[in-house]
Amino acid sequence: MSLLLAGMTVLVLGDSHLATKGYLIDTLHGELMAQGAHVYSYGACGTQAGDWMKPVRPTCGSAFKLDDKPTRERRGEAASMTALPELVKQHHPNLIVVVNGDTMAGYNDKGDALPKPWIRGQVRALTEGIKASGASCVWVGPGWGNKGKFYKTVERTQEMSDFLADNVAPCIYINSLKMSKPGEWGIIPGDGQHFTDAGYQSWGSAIAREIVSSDIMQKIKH
Amino acid sequence: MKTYWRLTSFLLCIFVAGPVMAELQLYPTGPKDILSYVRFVNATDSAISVVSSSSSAKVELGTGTEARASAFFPVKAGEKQSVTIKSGNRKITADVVGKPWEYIVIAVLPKGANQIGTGVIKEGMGESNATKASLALFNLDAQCAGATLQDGLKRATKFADIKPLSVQRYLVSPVKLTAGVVCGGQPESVLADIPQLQAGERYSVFLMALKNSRQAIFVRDGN
Repeated sequence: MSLLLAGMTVLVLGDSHLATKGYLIDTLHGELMAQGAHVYSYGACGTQAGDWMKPVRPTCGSAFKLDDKPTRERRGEAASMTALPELVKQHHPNLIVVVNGDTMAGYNDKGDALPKPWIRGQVRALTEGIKASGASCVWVGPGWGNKGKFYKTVERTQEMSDFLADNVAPCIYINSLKMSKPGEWGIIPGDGQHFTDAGYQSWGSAIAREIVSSDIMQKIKH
Repeated sequence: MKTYWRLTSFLLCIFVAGPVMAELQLYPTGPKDILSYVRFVNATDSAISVVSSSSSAKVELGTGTEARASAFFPVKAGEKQSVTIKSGNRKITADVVGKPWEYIVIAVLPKGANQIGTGVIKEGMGESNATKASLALFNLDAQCAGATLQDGLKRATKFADIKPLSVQRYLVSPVKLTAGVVCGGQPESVLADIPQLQAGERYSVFLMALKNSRQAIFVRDGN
């Protein structure tokens, strides 16, 4: 239990890393609840940061978990996402946790440059919405993957993380790359981006530790 | 004059939706289209119109401070974009091909006594930081061998010796700047009316020669 998080309402938003049972929607959610927070988590697979301001139909499923209720998955046509302003109206979060990076990184094997102007636009759309909500926020960047099917290389992952670190203000950036070494957390074979359940447990625990660390919480308004 | 742009064939909506992949949580990442961005700037003493050669897309640029620069228009990187530029009864054409995520300024410039020409300046995104403002100085004055932007208070000269038809861009603190542009060793400074800069925004100052006097036009880039 963290005195700093106890009683706080936390809204967690993310992409595919929160759209399947056993992923961060369970592990990070559970870790934050264990610190005494009320937690509302939403995952929309394949979506970009800006989509939380203008929702789209997630192309590969969605999930949500409301405080201590069971995780609900939605697949196919039932997949959905709700705009941030509506979620803020529903839950009145003190803290918003964004987990987004991989979907915007443009991993490729052709040497295409990181699409920085486009990423900046996506990130700004969401950070402006968060600013308007009045909530504090942290932004969790991508963890290490492997080339897998979509070429999530060490170099591009580092470049994406560095770019996000400079561009997510007023959110505080949480650098997932410092939480493990490349390959340390299990990655689903042939995937390259998604972790095994044990990997998601490690990532969720590490994110929660970062959030309750004095460095970050002291910057977060209550 | 109100700056406007209609149309579409060389404009692209920037939205991305991943491909339909049923329940498999794997997808190509990044944007649907690889883009570059094109803006037109009127550095002449007359109003101009810019018309796409492949569609009826049109932008009109006036001579007022706020009417001289268009917005940045997204275009497909690697594809040639052709426009016709008209000023009174004068007409010229211009072509440009952008690299991925490149920002391109097509400046319409005076040429000789009565003609117009173009100058193309390309830049990458440069550094980006949501806690800073991004400010560029474009030198569109062929007679200014080296433009320098000086902070009026500190006489800081971070933007220094910018050759004609070139640009420098830096991250700066989001403050109100009292700045002037000087050319070479000349003592006269052209005041650049720069308002309170906002963190995370991109801005440009265009130095241009108008009616035999220099002006520094400040513009918010918008993306």
